[in-house]
Amino acid sequence: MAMADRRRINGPTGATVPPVFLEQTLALTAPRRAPDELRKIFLKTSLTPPATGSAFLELSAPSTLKLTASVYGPRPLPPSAGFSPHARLSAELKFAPFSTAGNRRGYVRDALERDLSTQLQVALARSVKTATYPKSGIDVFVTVLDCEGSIDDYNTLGIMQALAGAITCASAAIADAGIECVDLVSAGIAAAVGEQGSLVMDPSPLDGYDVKAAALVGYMAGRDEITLLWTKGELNIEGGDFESVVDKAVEVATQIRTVLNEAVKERVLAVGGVNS
Amino acid sequence: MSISITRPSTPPSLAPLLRTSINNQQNQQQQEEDADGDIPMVSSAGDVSIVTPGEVVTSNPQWMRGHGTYLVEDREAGGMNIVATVAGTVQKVNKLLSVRPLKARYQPEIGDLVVGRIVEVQSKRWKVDINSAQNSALLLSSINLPGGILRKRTSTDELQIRTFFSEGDLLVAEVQSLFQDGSASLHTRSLKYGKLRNGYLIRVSSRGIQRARSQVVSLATANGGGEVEVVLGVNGYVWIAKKANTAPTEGVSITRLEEEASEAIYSSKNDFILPATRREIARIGNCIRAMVRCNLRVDEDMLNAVYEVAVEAADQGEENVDASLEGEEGRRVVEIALARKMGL
Amino acid sequence: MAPVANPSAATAPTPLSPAELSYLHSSLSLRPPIRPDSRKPAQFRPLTAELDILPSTHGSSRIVWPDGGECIVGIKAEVEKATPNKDIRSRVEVSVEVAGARDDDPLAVFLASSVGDTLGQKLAGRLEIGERWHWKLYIDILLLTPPVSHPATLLSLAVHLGLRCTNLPRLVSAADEDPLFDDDWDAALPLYPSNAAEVGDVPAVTLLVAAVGENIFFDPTREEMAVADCVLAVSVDWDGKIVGLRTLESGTVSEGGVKRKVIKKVVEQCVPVGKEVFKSLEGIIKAGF
Repeated sequence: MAMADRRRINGPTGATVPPVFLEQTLALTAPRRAPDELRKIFLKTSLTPPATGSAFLELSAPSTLKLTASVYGPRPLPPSAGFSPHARLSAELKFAPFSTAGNRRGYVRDALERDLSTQLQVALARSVKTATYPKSGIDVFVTVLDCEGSIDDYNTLGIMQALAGAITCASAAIADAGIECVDLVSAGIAAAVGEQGSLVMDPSPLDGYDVKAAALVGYMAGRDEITLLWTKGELNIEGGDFESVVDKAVEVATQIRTVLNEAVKERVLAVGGVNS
Repeated sequence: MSISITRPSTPPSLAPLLRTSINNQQNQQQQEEDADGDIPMVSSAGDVSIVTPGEVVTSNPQWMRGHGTYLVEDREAGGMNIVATVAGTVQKVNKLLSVRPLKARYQPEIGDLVVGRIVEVQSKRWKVDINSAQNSALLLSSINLPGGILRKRTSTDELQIRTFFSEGDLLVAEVQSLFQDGSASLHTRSLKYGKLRNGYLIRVSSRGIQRARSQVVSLATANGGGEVEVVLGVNGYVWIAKKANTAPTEGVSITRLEEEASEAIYSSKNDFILPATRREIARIGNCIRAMVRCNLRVDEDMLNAVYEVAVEAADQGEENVDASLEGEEGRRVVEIALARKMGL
Repeated sequence: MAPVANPSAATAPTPLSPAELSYLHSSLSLRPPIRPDSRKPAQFRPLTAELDILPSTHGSSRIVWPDGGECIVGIKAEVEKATPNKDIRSRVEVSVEVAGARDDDPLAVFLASSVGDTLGQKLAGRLEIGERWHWKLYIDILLLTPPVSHPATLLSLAVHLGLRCTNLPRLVSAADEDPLFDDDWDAALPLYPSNAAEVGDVPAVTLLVAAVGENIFFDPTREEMAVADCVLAVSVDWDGKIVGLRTLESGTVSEGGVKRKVIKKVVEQCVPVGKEVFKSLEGIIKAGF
């Protein structure tokens, strides 16, 4: 390039072809899962050494969701925060600038990130025994490295999948940090699709379903309790649509919980093996 | 009916009823003034002496200026005018003239009984929110320490300061002194004062509470609610609670009482409270809110009267009556009580 | 209220003393429960509302709570060229300003997205002007007084009323031409026709519901929310369908989540209560015209 003649307009040095994005074809060629089949999850804890606890979550191809969670604390609250008889849990969810398909996403923290951060905090806060840690803060940071499809307000499933992954991953990180909690929280999504509103477990935006309504639950399987419920789209109550889609989402969360348990156990076994 | 949405109307007011009582007072005042040979202090706006900031209250040199006024030299007539600095009613105590603001934050005065909330714990004192411009202070040396009134304050007490009062705790106290900046220093060195439990706090404007001989009202409630104690903080915070069973009886020596009470004095645990009592506590709270909404001052007599009417209304109306006393129903109850009390 | 350094402090419940929390929690857990202001579980605080108060908007409303919470909604419409492949929900833009709070306050963000979710596709579908043009609707919401309790319900009722009295200029050009409008304001057409309620196509409303134990409370005050096991914002439409549900931050008195049967009970009760709310709204709209 340095040798190029600057006085004239040069064509490209190598022949280039306009980029062709495979996103759509990829989704179409991928074998479609059965409606009750979940994607495989890779979840590993303690991957960020400086953090008190951390975890990494990735979904099996063709899904592209990848995110990391790190937990710092319990650590003292700044004096400006004032006295608190229980720990304050704060959560922050961020999308990396390269996380979206298509355009780069700026570093600006927008309304969507704030909204998801708040929901993440609500999902986790009541699972932690905050009364055990007075005057302290527990900070949870989740970074979405790669998400499914674009991130805007209209890609309901993409956003819900990112939040669900964040909840499961953050709960693993909290357990990894050795913070006392009443139960782990796993998150599951179910959707009513098509004209009939048939139920799909763990739907991905890449599956190309025509989504009528979707529900996300943050679920503590050990106590059979819900910490977070978020639904979008019209759902009948009398016909039982609402109940069945929530129940399906809980079923997804229950299955994901087994992965969460394994991941947390794996680490404990590894460390325990070294010590004994 | 679970929800009511109405078009805005004039706020509930007891103007017609209050007018009669004010007129009576006014006539008395008028007569006194005439006897003094003083100019009548009636503003052009109406028959109540309400002034606005900058308005000349009087130029008569016999008056001393009090709160809410200042002195201006009258160039034309010579001499000094007393001019109002706040919008409110003119008040006269002997020869002291002051303007009481219609709406203002609570200004603590020595001897006031206040209800406050701890907002900050420092090494030897607490900061207490009493609904005024400045947080007030409660010194560790101004509280009753457990184990008797004569005990000396130790460094152990300083270390466990949160065992007495912690952030968020409510207490009833008396204003002991005022600092230069107008903020108050409180004390709880009496069995009447201290931590509050077994009840519920409501907040009203400090103007809604009448300074009276006793700020602590005991109500014998209906429907098996038992005795309920209402602490009418002069600052507008009102605590409504079940009256403690172990009411101090006459004849027990004060030091012994002190020891007995000290165990429970800083407890945050509630006693067992009957549902009936809780229901009446809620009703009393609604009565107080309704009275303040109707611009009525709350004192023992008035509270008793309004409570009585509210109980009757609930007995008669059964399902249809809005127990929360918001809106029209509250106004109706207060009106009946007021009319009954004035013998109308 | 003074502006607070910590943005979330504006929404955080006032610190209550342990004795107060326990009193409230046990009163609300009783069967039947006792609310601190003697309201029935499904009873709302009385509201006052006004329609069409701002002449420079296409539609506006104001709604006030007895505790001083006040909300004003102004709706303005602009003509916009249709962009293919753009989600039609982008035709509605909601902004919320909370007095005394920063623009990025979590409360404002939450309220804006919850209003957007609630209105959803149905409202956007009403904004067509021919093939190539559509209306862009700006819903600007002003919370005038720092809310004493969570303003989700207040806000959604104000938006509903504002939309119901919104009038858009009448189109005089043909569907495929560049749009031209009748400049006679009296000829403007309502966004929602007066029989919208009979057809059942009116904007959904959001109800705030708190659960303590197995008891369920509508229109909870901040104190009640501070001791609740869970607080849900449920959006229901005229037909009694749930169009959106969100979980809000709740108190710290207890740990753990909420049982499925409680959530089921919440949504089931939202249907009849929602009907009452719509009936009440219809009353005020009828009186307004």
